[in-house]
Amino acid sequence: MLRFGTRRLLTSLITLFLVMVSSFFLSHVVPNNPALVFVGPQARQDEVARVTKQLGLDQPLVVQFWDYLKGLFAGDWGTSIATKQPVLHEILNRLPATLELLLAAMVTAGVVGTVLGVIAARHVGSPLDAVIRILSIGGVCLPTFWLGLLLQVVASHGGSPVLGRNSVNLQFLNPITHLTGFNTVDAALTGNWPAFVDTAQHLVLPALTLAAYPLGLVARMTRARMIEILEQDHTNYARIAGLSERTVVWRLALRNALPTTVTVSGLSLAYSLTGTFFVEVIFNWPGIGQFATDALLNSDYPAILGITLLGALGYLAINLAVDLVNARLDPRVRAS
Amino acid sequence: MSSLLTVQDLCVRFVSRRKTVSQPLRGVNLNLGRGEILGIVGETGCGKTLTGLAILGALSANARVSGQICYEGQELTSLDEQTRAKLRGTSLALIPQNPAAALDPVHTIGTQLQLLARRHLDRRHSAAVDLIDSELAAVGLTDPERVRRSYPHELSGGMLQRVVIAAALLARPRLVVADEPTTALDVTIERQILNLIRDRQHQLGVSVVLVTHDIGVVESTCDKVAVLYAGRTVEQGLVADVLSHPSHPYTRGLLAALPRKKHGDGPLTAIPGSVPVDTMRLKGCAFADRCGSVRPDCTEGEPPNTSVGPGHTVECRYPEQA
Amino acid sequence: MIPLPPGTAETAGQTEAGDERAPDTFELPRPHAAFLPTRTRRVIATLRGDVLVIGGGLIVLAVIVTAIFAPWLAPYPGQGRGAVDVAHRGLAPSSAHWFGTDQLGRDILSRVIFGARPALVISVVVVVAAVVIGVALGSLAGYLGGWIDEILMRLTDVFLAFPPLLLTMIVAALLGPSLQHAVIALVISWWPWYARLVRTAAQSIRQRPYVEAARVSGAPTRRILRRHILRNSLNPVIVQATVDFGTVILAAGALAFLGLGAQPPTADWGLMVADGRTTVTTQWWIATFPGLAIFAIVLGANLLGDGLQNLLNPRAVRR
Repeated sequence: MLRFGTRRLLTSLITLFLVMVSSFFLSHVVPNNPALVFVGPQARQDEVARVTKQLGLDQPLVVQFWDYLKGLFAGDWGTSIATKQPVLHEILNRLPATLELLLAAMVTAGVVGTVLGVIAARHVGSPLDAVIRILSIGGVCLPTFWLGLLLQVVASHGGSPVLGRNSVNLQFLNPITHLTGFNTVDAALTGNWPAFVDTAQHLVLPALTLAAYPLGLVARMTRARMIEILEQDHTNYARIAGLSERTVVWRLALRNALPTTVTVSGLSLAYSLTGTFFVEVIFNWPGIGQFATDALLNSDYPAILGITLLGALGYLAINLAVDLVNARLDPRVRAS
Repeated sequence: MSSLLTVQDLCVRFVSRRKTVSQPLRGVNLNLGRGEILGIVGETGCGKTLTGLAILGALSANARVSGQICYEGQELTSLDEQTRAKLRGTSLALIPQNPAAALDPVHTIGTQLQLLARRHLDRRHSAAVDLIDSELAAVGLTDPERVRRSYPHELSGGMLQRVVIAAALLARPRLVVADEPTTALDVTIERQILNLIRDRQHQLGVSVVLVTHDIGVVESTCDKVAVLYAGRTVEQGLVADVLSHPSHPYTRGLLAALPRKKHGDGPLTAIPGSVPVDTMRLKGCAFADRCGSVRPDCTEGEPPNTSVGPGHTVECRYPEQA
Repeated sequence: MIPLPPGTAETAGQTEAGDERAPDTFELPRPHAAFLPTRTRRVIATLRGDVLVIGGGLIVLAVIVTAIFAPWLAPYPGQGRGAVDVAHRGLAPSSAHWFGTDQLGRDILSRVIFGARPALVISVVVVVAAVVIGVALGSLAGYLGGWIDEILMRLTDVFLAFPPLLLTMIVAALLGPSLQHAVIALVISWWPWYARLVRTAAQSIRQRPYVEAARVSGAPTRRILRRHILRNSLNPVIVQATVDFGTVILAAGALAFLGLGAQPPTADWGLMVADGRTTVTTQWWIATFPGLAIFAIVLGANLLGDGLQNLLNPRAVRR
């Protein structure tokens, strides 16, 4: 178990390093000079040259990469060209907002998706199963950026949509004391109910938008796995031994399907990382996604590198977590 | 002795889209009294397991059952699914063929037994634990607590077999179907398990239907025997009668294929050929093309059911007379 | 949208309609497992039994037809190509403009119809390129093994170490926003999936006795690859490519939505959704209909892929 974990961690680190190398070199063979972006299109020639030198862009690539690596470990992820702020600072500031959104979406998707998948498997072939199948395949196919807009249309009834993390005047009327960085949780913990209602209202639509894909995928895969499990010997034996169908399905069989559910949840969580880009843009959610989209559109290469690193880190962390959770869930793996 | 279970002319067909695709049981007759062990013996594919499942009411939805299964004077085939479900585990229980597959791999033995105890005996948690421990001890597991905490893959085949025997007897059913309970085990352990089933059967006064392909097991363990061939009971009676005076050529074939000490070193004889796969197109006796003493009219019409001794019947046109 | 990684594809998908099953019944596989239908019967049963698969096929077919005959189908072909009509801007759906008009007065129905063209071209180019690269490298790696396999797999590791679509967006952004660059970015982030898929299949096929036999009898590597490995690892690739046909359209739409893909005045669905974004609560039709088109084609490709999977993989079909 421990050895398995260590080996996984080691290969992950090697991959991460390769990601860093490739993204760094990729970002430095881009056609347009980053210094141009930094100084703006109207800048004079000598100013461009000065900034090129200041950013170290006249050094050989390998030297630049070495400096970049040294910076990374010192907590210096470079300075965003667009916002002129340290990239790491921007990311850390925006992290709680994005995490709150992701967490809300994944919990919804995981719980509802699993329940729907189990119900469909239990009534396989019935009209209920058909409805759940269509819903889940629909959820998987809905473009995130379109679903967000549709929900705005439906929720606003022609008025202005609910955007941002909270109402503009909330910080004056019911300011939130920050504990976890998750506004809804903080408001609830401090008993600030008006703020809780307000932030929850702002969270619902973006979280639902983000939840559609994982929900569909979890429901679909859980259903498929449960159908298999419900036909296996141990399930039949449990029924013949006289256990009720409810016990057989929810108490015994579901536990067998959990590794699948966890794997799919992790997979779709990784997908949702990029989903936040669209959701945050559409709902004006002040998280990492917005920062990332701006960086991508403005060729803000230090920020892009930071996002790349964060994305790869997050993805590897999710995969690692899925493996570890599954190893704990399966007593046969756990023992070895 | 009063009869606990009588099965008469039991037929099972499997249908798909309203069309019969197979008929694995074509007329099974059984008779079992209280506290008796009945052996159902036959080759792979003869319908032994299916007979057991039909008695338990555990066939798949595309199975169509006809004939009678009379348990304690109650006709089971005419009961609705809910009533039958209530009988399972409480009155009728199964000892499965392969406990390693029958037990849920991701739950501990204790969890699985507790669910059964709570369902059938309405026990609270602590009471259930004590009961389970004593039941596990009764099937010869010396460290019940460790067994309870174990997952199925952590126990040996013999221990798992003891666990499912304990599970089957937990609610003190009156009839237990043991479906080839020793196929997955070593010969030495096989003996132990069979003795255990016999002992527990004796202590609790339960009746057992023992499904097996080994007529040697029947000889050592059972009171009665029913020989199945291609979905029909071809011979049945007391073990002592049937094995000493086998009247159906198939029964004689099974006995001849059995190695035994007392008959010296005579050669073992195998029955040539194999069980017919498509029983729907059979005409006459299903055993005809493998039978050593076949006669021309054996393939014309079904063989009659003849009594050759008290409680000893055989389905053969030309039975060996005792 | 991501292509589902190998091994997560749904294995127990469809059950035939009219299947006689109650939820509360027991099924023991052994006694009647011998009655599997033949291949042909299975194909017919799957097709007949599943309305969804047929629906998916029809949607995909409709999009292809629309793309080919766009100039004849669109009520305002000129506007489909980008001509503006400021006098009629922001009109709600009516009999003259079924889907309404956008901020430049262009008929949205016409532009949705013309939008099928770039969508189709992008997805075909990307899927074909990704399949060719992925299948070539994957079968080589899987068959030859050794250091070639090692290098290729570490390479795909790097590509697959990104959250889906992030790599595409980064590459597209670094190359600069344009349709061509978006296509390149899509190919770059798509081929590793196929390489992995084919490699896994090739590795298992390599061990089979008949391939061993061919190798021992001295058949050239190229022929073994072509004859045995490729042919036998094709099924999962076909299924994946079918699903990706829709997924790529979705991804391209997403890129365009952010401004990293097709540029105005192209009639691109993703771009059109972006156009309608700011005014969506007052002029809902501008973003809604192009988005619906994307949703429909992705749905169609997924349903078709499901159906193909069940046809090509007999083990996934029950009874």
